[in-house]
Amino acid sequence: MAEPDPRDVPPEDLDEKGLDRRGLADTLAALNGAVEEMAERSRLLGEVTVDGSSDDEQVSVQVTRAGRLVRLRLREGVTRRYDLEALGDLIARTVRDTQRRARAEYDRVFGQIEQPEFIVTPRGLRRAPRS
Amino acid sequence: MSQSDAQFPVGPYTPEDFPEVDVAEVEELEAELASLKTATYTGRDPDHLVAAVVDGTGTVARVAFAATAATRSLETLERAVVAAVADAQRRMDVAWRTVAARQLPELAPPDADLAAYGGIEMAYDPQEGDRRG
Repeated sequence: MAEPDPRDVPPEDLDEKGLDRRGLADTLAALNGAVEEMAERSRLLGEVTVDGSSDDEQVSVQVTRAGRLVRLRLREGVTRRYDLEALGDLIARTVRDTQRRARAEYDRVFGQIEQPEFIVTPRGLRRAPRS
Repeated sequence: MSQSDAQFPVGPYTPEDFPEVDVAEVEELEAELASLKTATYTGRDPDHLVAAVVDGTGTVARVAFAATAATRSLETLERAVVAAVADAQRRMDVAWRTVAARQLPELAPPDADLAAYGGIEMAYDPQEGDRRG
């Protein structure tokens, strides 16, 4: 009589090499599910917008936490105060500073998200129930 | 067997545990990804009024107006800057996806983006934005 499998794997779950194909498939599903869940949460967090403006308030911008420039507003008369080169520099600095602030905000909020947890079972990894 | 008795191997792993993985190939990919991060990407609005440069994280490094921009309305300039930054970030995204897709084909950029992607730009010529002027 064959030795019982210490992992209690039903014979129909074993492949021809004795590999627990069902256990492996469930492990991969648990990992993939966690990755997809975190990717979606990351995407949603990244869509939140952050406002910024230059010190003199001639340039105001809105960027997403993911760094996309959504909106730029130039105050009336800004082209009389700045030549085109200086205006380009001011816009770049304003967008860049706001992007950095937005990303710092993203990192802070993402760091507070409850990360997926796993438990180790004899047949592989499984998602831990949420606390 | 209880869960606490489980002996499921959870690492740490060494390259010897994965003989099918080409370590040299992975190292080459890592080097390529690192070079993408230090590269810059230039984008332009459809009317070539603005050229925007972003770094490998999508952060804006530079915005330059073409001389022809001086006669345009503020609203036109605002839209042109937003479009140029988006174009630069799209080029960055395509560059990352093109390299990453060698290992993960599902990350490949759409064909339309690939056609528009002209390679990584390591230097920036602000006069390029004025070609059509």
